[in-house]
Amino acid sequence: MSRAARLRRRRDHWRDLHERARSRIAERLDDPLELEESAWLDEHLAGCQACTAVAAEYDADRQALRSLRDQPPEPPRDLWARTSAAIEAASLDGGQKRERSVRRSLPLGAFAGLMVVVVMVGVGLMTANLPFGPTGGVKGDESPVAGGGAGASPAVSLPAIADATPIAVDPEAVGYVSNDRPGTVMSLSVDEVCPATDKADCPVREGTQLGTVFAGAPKTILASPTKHKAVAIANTDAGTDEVVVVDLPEATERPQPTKTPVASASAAPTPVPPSPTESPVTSASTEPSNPPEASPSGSEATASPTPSLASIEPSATPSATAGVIAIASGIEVVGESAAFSPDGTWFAFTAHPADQTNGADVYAWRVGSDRAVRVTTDGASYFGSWADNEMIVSRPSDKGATKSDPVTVRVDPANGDERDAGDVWRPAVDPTGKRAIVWVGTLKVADDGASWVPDKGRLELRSWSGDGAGRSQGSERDRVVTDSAPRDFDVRWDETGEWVAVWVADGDDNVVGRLTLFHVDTEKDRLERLDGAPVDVRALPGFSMGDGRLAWATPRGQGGEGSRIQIAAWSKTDVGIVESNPGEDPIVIR
Amino acid sequence: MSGVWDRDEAGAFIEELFAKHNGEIYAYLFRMMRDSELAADMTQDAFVKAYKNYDTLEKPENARAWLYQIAHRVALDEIRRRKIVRFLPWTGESRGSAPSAEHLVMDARLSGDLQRALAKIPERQRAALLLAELHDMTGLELAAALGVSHVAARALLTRARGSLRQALAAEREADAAAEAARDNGHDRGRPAEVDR
Repeated sequence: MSRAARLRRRRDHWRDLHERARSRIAERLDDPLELEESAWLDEHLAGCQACTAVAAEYDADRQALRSLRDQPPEPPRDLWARTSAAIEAASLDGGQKRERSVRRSLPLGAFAGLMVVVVMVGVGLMTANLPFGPTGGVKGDESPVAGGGAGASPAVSLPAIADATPIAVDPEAVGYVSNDRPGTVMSLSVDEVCPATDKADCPVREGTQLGTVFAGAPKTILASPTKHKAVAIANTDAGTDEVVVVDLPEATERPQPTKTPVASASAAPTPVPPSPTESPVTSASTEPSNPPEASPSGSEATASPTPSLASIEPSATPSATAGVIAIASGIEVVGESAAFSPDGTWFAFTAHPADQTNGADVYAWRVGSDRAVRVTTDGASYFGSWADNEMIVSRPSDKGATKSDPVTVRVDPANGDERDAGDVWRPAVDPTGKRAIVWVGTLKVADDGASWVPDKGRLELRSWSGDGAGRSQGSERDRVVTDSAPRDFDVRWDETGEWVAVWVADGDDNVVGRLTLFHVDTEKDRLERLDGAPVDVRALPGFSMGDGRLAWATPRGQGGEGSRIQIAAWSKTDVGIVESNPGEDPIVIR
Repeated sequence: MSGVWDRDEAGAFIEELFAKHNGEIYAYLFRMMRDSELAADMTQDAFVKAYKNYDTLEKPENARAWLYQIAHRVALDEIRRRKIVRFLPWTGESRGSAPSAEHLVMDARLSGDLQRALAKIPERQRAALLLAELHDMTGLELAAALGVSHVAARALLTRARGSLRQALAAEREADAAAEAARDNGHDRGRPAEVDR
């Protein structure tokens, strides 16, 4: 006799016959009772209204539960892309049931490039005393796992660290504007981050106040490559957008001169010459280039002589100037792709007139000029990114339809000349010009009846050349960022072209999205999600990428908790994250 | 299948398994956790664990129950972890972050007495009920998914039905009390009718 049968026959453990009956009522929903017990139950129910009512309740509960089958929750469409990448990472980590006693090292090539770039950028920043450059260097230099120390050889494999050990990274700071102190630029210095397995004890970081710059709350701030100036986009009282240029305050913390440059021109990033209105950066490897002389074609954006987002205190430091100009107003900026050119001489963005009399066009502002100009005039053009110092602009091939294939052109910002660059949408070209994250697929008119957004296709890594996007050699599942159609996306590469962060809007309002940091295997042309790196984390629009870190702001929390700045930073062997205390809607300076 | 672990074979098998079952595994984890983002992360985690433990699957015909067992453990681990420390990890959210719009829609879809009652019963009982009633698992398959004996699975299911009935009754009583309170409030606030 089975144990179950023995249990069922132990009738003396019931408090009363009703309890026994009710238990049997539940049991028989799943398996038939033994004949004897079933007969007993039927007999009991025939004479017990209360137990009959309980039986009816059980049946009703079951029906209610089963009705949930008609409303199955749908998994996210990129679940396979995420899962396959995680499996691939697990496979590379050793696959079967191996716990990570040694963290996965980044490819040597990636580190070699990264280390040189970090050193070069670090030296450039130090000499220029820039706001968001190196700020410390003590812990990073002392740690055996500090990535990017000038004396470290990239060929030496540094010892792995235990999970609970903080990860030392090059000391750098990220900038943001906190609305706890309205309009105030803050600096958050990070030289250690926490591994993903050591989250509970990771201390939160406090930002350092640099200076009050904005009278109001901008919605987007983008620093120039030299980080002395920034372009800010803000809503005005009139409900339109205004684009202004401001000086950024200098860092209060001076970096420690502990590093020396590495003489390796081949691995250096794209040179960053100074903009016409900025102080030159002293760097042996960079040669300033003159900005284009020709005036851009197209009509000028409305310039406001008295910007409403005017600086009330342009800078907390004596060296800063009060140069605040509005380069565009009476418009509505579209999307999150606005960016400075690699050499810092141009700034491009997409916008349409605030009165909706025309569709989206691409605007360019030449640094030093007093206004942005509209470079395209078709009312359906969207800025994608910069490739060298040409704008990559996409538009629907049939803007009169509601659905269309995309076309992309390279546009010279100086004269508006266009050259064909393929049939993809909004390529975000890496600084080497060899790869891009692009939308491959069709477009549709958005619900607003005016904007063009992705319809069917996928966001993926592609090879890139002067002719546009080509096939990438990596397998499909290693290239795809998402196969859902986001309303908007924002892609930012680091200086090496070996790290890229992708923000994909959630829903239709661009208020919040998901951010993922990828490492790019440049030999195999594939995207890698590394342990500890953010994957599909919820993030507000606008993040900064570069100098070995990615910074973003989280959405507001439950119970009224404010947003936080989170920073993922990487060393030779690890990626880790730290975050700030919650605050009022911080805006990361990109 | 058991014994030698072949990376390519495991990868191909898991890909096939994902195509067949990812929807139901996600649904199970969503119903257990009531959090769409967390469910997605946990589904991913479950399939990665399945990949790593491919050699523990003895018979391909048992793959579904085996997969559910992995997902079930992932869910219990997460629930246990949340009982120990109250924070949301980097890989998901900042501490105390807001639910997504998708989450709210999902929550609304499953809201009501039943969902609240389900959330109140012990997680193992909840798992047993969900697997039996929504995921068509019975007998040995249910036992395998729950990682218990057949007898224990049956007993768990019986207890779960009893717990749910009681929890639902409590929810309905609370609803009725709240509605009565609202009605009283409306009556007090409503202006008296005036004879014309």
